[in-house]
Amino acid sequence: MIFHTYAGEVKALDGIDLKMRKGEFFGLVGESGCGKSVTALCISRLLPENAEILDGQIMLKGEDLLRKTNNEMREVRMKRIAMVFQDPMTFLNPVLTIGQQIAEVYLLEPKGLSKEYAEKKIQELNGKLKTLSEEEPEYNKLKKHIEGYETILASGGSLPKKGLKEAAWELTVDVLRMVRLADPERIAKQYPHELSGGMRQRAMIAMALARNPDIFIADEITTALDVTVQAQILALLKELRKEIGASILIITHDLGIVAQICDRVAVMYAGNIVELAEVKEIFRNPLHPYTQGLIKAIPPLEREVEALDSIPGSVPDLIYPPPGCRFHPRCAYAFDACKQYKPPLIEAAPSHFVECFLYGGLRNE
Amino acid sequence: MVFVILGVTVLSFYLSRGIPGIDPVAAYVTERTPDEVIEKLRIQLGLNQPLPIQYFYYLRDLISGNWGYSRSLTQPVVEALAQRFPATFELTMFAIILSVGIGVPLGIISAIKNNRAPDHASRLYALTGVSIPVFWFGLLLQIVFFYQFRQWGLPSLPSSGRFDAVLNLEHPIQHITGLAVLDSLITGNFIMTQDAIAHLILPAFALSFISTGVIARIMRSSMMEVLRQDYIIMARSKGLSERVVIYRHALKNALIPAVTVAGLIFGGLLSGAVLTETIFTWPGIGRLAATSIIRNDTALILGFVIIAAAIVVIANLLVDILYGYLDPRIKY
Amino acid sequence: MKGLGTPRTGWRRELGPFIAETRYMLDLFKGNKLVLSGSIIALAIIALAGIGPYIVDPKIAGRVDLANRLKAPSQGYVFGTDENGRDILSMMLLALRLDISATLIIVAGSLAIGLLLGAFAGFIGGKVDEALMRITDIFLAFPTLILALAVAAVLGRNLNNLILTLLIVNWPGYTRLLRGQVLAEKEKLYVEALRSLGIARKRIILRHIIPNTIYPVIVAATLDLGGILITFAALGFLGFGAGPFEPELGRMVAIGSGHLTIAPWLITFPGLMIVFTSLAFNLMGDGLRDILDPRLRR
Repeated sequence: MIFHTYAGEVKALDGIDLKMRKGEFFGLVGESGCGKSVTALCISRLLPENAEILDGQIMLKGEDLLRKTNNEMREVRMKRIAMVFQDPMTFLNPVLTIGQQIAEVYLLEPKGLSKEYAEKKIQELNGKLKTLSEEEPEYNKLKKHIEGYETILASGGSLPKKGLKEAAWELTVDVLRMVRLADPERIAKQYPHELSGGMRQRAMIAMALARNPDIFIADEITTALDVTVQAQILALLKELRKEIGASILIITHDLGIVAQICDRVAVMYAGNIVELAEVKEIFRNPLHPYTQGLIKAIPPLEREVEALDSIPGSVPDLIYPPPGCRFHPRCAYAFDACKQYKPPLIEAAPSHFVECFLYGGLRNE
Repeated sequence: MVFVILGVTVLSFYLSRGIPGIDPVAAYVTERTPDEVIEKLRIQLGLNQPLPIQYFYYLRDLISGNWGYSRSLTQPVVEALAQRFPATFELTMFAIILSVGIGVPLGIISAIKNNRAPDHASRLYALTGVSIPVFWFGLLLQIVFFYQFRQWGLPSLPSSGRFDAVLNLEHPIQHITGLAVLDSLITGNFIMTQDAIAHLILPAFALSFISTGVIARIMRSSMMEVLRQDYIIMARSKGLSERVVIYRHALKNALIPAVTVAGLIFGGLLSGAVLTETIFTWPGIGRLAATSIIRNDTALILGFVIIAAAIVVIANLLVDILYGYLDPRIKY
Repeated sequence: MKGLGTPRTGWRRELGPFIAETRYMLDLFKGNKLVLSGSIIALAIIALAGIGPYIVDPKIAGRVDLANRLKAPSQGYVFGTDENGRDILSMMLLALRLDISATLIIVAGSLAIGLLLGAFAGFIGGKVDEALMRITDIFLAFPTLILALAVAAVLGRNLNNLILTLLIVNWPGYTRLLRGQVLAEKEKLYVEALRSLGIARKRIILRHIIPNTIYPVIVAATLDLGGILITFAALGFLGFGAGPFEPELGRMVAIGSGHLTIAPWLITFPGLMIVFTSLAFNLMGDGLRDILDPRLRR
């Protein structure tokens, strides 16, 4: 897709082909400006007005999202896609409480909640109940949550008209509990500026989980946090993996994060996916020169280095992108074909895809 | 803020007593007053004392309600002002309701449909609003809606006074708050309510015209700023409808900077009231101020000025409180 | 740019970027039709005001021609005649001179005072700044017209005092504005950079801070022209300033209001004149703001 700007057309994305499996952590890695956030916005069709998708499909459980109307897309965004963004301070509305911002997806659209999910939650909460004794305040709270979920079952997949607020509140508090926030009732009544950075990010995650989405897109969610908090959030995601059934798209520029929690990863450069493989495989055997450069650039812990290995050159101007393979100006192995033709994505090794003529794909025109 | 109020009194004091060359006694005497009387008056007014002491007495008088005596009305200034205040209050309230009621939606529409027809229309409205003098606009309204309508046989809107005197004789309004609409409404005197509202339409509209433009402009830029924010993207990504995004997420945030100009608008409304009341023969303090100028009744003018400043200060205070309510980040 | 080359020293090198900027801004200016036409009209009106007395004989203001009073717009009297039989168009042209020159004097004057005091307060800071701010606070607590009423009531109702009055009422706004700009600019990083380079304070102030801070103030002044014109006319309407034989637009409207039913042209045309002039000034100010604004945001 492209952006229309006063300076010219920015060819932001050119050839993104990825398939995510259910329940997997899929990483999308690349430098700033390579188009990873844009890809995420494409999926939920939240692009700004000057963007134009020229060609392609976005398939979610067999439906092409690009063919949907605006109203249908809104339903999709609420019920099936969830997004969490980088800076929770600016992405949370400062004049509404956390609880209000979570509950609104229940209050404004009480229908269409998943019965299976409700059953699952009831089971899980009942399990927790068994570990508590009746006197503990926690017991009653959990019981109320269960009641909330039961109303979903009772009305066949939606919240009831009477007692809507109470049910929505229970669900809200429960989802805040899910992200391991202590004292979720209090937090729900607070405003974003009253929370710490880590807590805000957890609240954002809670917001995303509210309607039990099919796909959960996390766009640089740890970038604004310091390292210890980052670790906590990643741990949280790992834990949540079992509780929610969604596929998670992790967008980041940090290979370390990819190594920690992703199953598979795609490497992006200048609007292209240049390599796609399982995480272990990619670290063990990086094929694309860019990926190799990225991995080499990580300073090693075991020994001292005098200079950091960086990739020479800089990211290309996407208004006038280089012809052929967009990486060729910075590639040590570039040859003539690279300057003229764009390499196709080929399977160089089992389940390991690369876009590079070094591994084939050359066809005589 | 206390300092400002004090400063206001100092300024008024200075204007009434302190300017060299202006003799405060002149307001109370004529050429024919014998000299001894003038002298006695001087002593009585405390004019022979040094200025700081005079200021002290002035302050004491202000607080105790002695704002001087209006020679043109032969009434204490405070009384004259108090009698006419409700009328101005009523007019100003209606003008505010109109300004906000028209200005805010205009600004919102302008921001949403940015750079398209509704935006240009409302910007034009705002621009003409600040370019048209309120006194002329009021007169124009009178010509069209009062005189011309009559000529064309259409029902016309009244252009002077608060209610029809004849009608009032038949159905007198009980004086409870001094607000004609409110009083007649409470007592079930609906004939007069209708009449009072009819009399309010033209002057309130004239008075509100400028502020509507200002409010629309501010709402527009404020709303545009808010709609660019990240949390709006977040709201959309949750699948909320555009209506919800605008009214639930954007509006409250957009009102915050808009509210800060409310104080200014109040001041403008008061100024406009002076002119509007004159044109529409509305018996409020604005008209009082205008007539006291012609009659050189300094005491009354200064009394009016102090009240005006007080109103603005109070309005600003209320605005600050409103601000704290809208924005949870502010704590008092 | 034509092949100027880059001279190494001299004033041309210093002014080079400035000239390029100005050309760019002029281009922007020409782009926006509404603003452009507004500005042209504004300048035309000012010119008209200037040459007014040379087109129309000022003495007719003093003449009373009761035979022709209150005539509707017709041949010979394009806008009709007033209650003294004077041609309204001529009166308007004469009044224009008064109103426009008064407006220009008031705005220029309060701008000048505001610049001086504002810069002063901004740089000196400390107690002086505080004191000055308190004073402006007090002035600004009063609505413009009302304060003007008070001051004018005390000073006297003639014309010169009216101008003085509005000067007194208007300067605090500019003072605050400039002071705010100066304070904000002082904090900017480039000032610190300049100082660490050892450049004299005076030079920093004159060559760097002042040029960057006056733009919003100039814009404010242009936008103020319309408002001051209206306020001045409003005071004229209320009875300040002009005498019965000194034409002034506001006063003409006031007199006309007495003959509303039978001779509406008495107020229509002078009023329209005020509206157009104010509109033109506002458009000019808007345009100026739009041009200078993106520059300011840098």
